[in-house]
Order: sequence, then structure tokens, then C-alpha cells
Amino acid sequence: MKHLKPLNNKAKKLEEAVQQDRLEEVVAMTSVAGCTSTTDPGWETDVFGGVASLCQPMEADLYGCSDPCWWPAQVPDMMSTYPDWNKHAADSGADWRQLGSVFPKDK
Amino acid sequence: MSALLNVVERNVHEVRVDDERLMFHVPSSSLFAADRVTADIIDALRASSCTADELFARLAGRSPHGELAETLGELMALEVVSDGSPLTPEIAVKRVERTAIDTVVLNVNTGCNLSCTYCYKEDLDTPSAGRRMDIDTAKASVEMLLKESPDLPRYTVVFFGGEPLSNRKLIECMVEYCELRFGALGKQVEFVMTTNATLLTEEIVDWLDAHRFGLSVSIDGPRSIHDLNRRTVGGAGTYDVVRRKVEMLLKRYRSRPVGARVTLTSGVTDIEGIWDHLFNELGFAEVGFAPVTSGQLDTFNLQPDELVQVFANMKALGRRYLAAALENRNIGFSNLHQLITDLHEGHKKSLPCGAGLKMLAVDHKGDLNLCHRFTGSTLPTFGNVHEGVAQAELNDFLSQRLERSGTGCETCRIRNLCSGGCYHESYARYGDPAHPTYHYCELMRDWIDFGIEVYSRIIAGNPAFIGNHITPRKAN
Repeated sequence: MKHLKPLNNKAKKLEEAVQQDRLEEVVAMTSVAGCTSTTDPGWETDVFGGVASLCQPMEADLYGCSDPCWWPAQVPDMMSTYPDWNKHAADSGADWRQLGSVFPKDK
Repeated sequence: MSALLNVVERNVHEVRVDDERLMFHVPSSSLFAADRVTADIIDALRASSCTADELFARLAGRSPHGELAETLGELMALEVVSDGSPLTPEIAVKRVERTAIDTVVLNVNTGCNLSCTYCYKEDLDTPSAGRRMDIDTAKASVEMLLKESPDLPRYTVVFFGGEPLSNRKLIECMVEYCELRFGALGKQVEFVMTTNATLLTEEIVDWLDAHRFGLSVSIDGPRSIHDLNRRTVGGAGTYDVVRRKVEMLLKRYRSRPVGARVTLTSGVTDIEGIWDHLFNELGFAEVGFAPVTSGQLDTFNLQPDELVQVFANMKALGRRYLAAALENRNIGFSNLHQLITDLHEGHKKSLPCGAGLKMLAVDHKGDLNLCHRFTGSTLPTFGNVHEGVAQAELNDFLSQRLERSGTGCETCRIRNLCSGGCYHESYARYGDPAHPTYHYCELMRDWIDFGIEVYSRIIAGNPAFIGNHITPRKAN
């Protein structure tokens, strides 16, 4: 980190963690956990031309609608009804064929 | 981006040292020096929360946009500034599921040849009435240690009392037993003992030295202070005999540094005078102070104004520690040295100490207590060395202290360093070992701020001190 100079050992470790992966996690959180609560731009075009926070690529669209703020779109509601829907598709880019359809149990 | 940004006050604590602004990152115990851009952002957000764009606009005249954005990114990654997203949970573990006992404390005799007026031992007896631990119980304690934690490379066996040397035969027996037992397994065992020194002879000292005992001597300072409380059963002061024995001990003892353990009671606040006597005059390697605030007898407890004086005097000695550290000398002020070690490593504690988690104390009957301070108390014990550890009860006990919500610790800036304080003090004062020791929170927070200041001055003025005097402790 440039503006916070680590003094003790833990700060040095934390700095490395932030550089290597923790920071990525945080960035990922803000780009995927979408919709109004975190000012996801939704269907609109990103003014900087980036796509990470948009509904493209499809991962953002998929989980933006299925998990944190479910939208009655083309994906199952993973918050409460189908929590295991993506159990066999940890990497949706690679395993998308495992993401099947769901049917209400009472039908 | 229109989320409002805020400083997450519970995650950051600022200590100013001269013109420097040090940021203590509470969730991780990391210490950073903040530059001007960082300070500007924090000050601006403390004055009023705003969106990132508004923040950049407000600080546009002070720093270029790129620097501001970069710094804000760092602060958000550390969760010092938040846009309202959920924060990372600080203690990932919600429950203690297993313990890793590596130390067993053997209370080898409840009897003591002294009758120090303030002694906290709830099972203390006169020498003739002393209840001694038998050899089978002592061996079973060591076997329990091995059974509980079979895979460790190193174990510690502590001899405690009463006065442990009043059951010397058992100590000698156990040292022989342990050296053979652990040696055969290819493991190391270390012995530790706290003694009042009165029973030491040249022969005993040489024997302890040969077995590399880590020794602490209970001694309270110069005669006028020591003899206030540390007396024989008949009531006479013990300073002369203790001093004679200590001089003999320190002259002969080679294997390890020997520390002095000082108990501070009501009326005793002269930290520097006591340290000077024990360190410079008698030659102890370290002097550690234990203020009594929660004893059963209120007459011995340091009163609130005295406790303030104790901490002020600890800071005065701390300044001498700092001055010496800048010249690469260690004046053996154990309380501060330990704090500096914790701060240097960035230790983070979910629980205040290792009692129950890394260590159990065995009383003369073989029952298991959280630590040596609890033997003989009314707190239920946690199993027995013959039948094993009552793991479920122990896990329950430790887990309740992991839960900080609703306590003063929840948002306290030293929550991960102090972690609520000593179980036994809480028990003595509030009747509940899980109750935080609220009666000196403010003084403790101030003491840790002082430690941060001393640490930062050492890092800036003589970082070699850390390598020479702090890091080697880890190897021991």
C-alpha cells in the first residue's frame, strides 16, 4: 500500500494479503452483489465502458438476479427456495450445462 | 457510485505521536503510519459522510484525483472506510470446538511456609496442613497432557503451590519421569516454577539449573515494601532471607534469565523504586508487576486513585524503557516488554489468555481447573486427570467469552489485545469469570496507546532493538 505505511509485522502481512487476494475479494463483492442496494447500474451502460458491474458478463447477471436481490427473471431464487441450484456449477462459465431448470415441488 | 462513505470507527484507532498519525487497525492489530492523503480522507469523512465523488470534489485542491482514489481504495480494502457493505466478521470462530492443551500446572502443595497477607490462592494452607499432590496424580496429569495433545513437539509442566519447593520430592520425581517419558517420544519438555525463594539452597539451585527451569521469584521490592505483606506464618518480614537467597540464586543460575514477580497492593505504587531495587540492585533479568484490584479482601485492593497512580508510574518507567531501548538496552520492564512484543507481532486474541485453551491446572485431588488461580475456588472444575477433560463444559465456558455482543468489549478499540481481561479477576470481583474487567478499561486503553507510542518511537529510532530483544523471545 502506498499511503498507509505498515509499521508492525501484522500490517506487513495484511498489506500482502490486500495485494494478493483480499483486495480482489472486496472488488468482486462490489461488482457482483448487485442492484439498488449497492448502486448497481443494472441494465444501463457503464459510463467508463467497463462491464464488471453490469448485467454482462453473464455471471453478474446470473447471480445478480439469483442471490442477493432476487429479481423474478429467468433464474431461480437461491436466497430461499433453491439454495443448491448451482451446487454442481461452482464455475458458471465452465459448468453452465449443470445449471438446470427448476420446478415447484407442489406441482 | 452514490453510496455514502463513512469511517468505520470501531475498526480504526488513531494515536498521534508528534506530527505522525498512526492508525491502529483494530480487526487485525496492524499498525500503519498514515500519510497526509489518508489523514485528509479520514478527517473529511469524520466531518461529514459523503459519496466518493463528493469526497474527491471536497479534497480536489489538496491532492490529485488519482491519489485520492487510490487511498480511498486502500482504506476501503481495510474496512476503515465503508460504503455500507457488510463488514467481514472479526472472529471467524463462533465456538470453541477443541482445545490444544500444551501446558499443565501442578499445584504440588496447598501449603506454604509463608503467609503473605494478600495471597489470592483460595486453597492456601499452613505448611503443616498443606495438602500435597501425590505422585500418581502428578503422573496422571502428564499422561492426560499427552493424551489430550499427542502431536505437539514441546510441552510445559509448571510447578505451583503454595510454595512448590515444600513438596520438593514430587518435583524431583516428576522431572525425572517427564524427561524419560517425553525424551522417549522425541519431544521436548520444559519446566517452570514460581517460588518465594526462601527454601532455595545451593544444591537445589544447581539442580534446577541443570534441568533448565524457568524461574520467577515472588518478591515485592525493597524491605519496606516487601515486608508489608510477604511474611512468615508467624508474621515476621521475609525480606532478609529472600534477599540472601536471591543473591545466591542469581549468582549461580546460568540456564535462563530469572524474573521477579511483584504484587502491588493498596498503598504500593512506587513502580520505579521497586524496579530500580530489583533490576539494578539485586540483578533480576525482568521485573513484572501484578496490580491487585479484585482480591477477596478489599483492604489489599488498589483503590481507584491508586490504580491511576500505578498506571501513571508504569508510564514513567516505560519512558525509561524507551530511552534505554533507543540505546539498545533492555531494562527488563516485563509488562511493557510483553506489550511491545504483542504490538510488534500484531497479536490478536479472541480470548484473554490460554487458561482452559492451552493450559489446565491440576489441584491436589487431580481435578482440572482453568488455571492455578482457580484451584480451591467454587467455580466448577472441568474433569479430572484420571477420567479426562470435561471437554463439552470447557468448550461452553470458553465459547461464552467469544461472544462479545452486548458487552463493553464489542466496539472497544483494544478488544483484540485485552479481550476482556483475566477470568480470575472477573470471578473475584463480579462472581462471574465471563464478565469483562470493566473497572480498569480506561486505564488499559491508555496504557496500550502508550505502548503504541513507545513501539513507534523504537521502530523509528532504533529498529535493531526489536531484532535484538523482542524477536529472540519468540525462539524460546
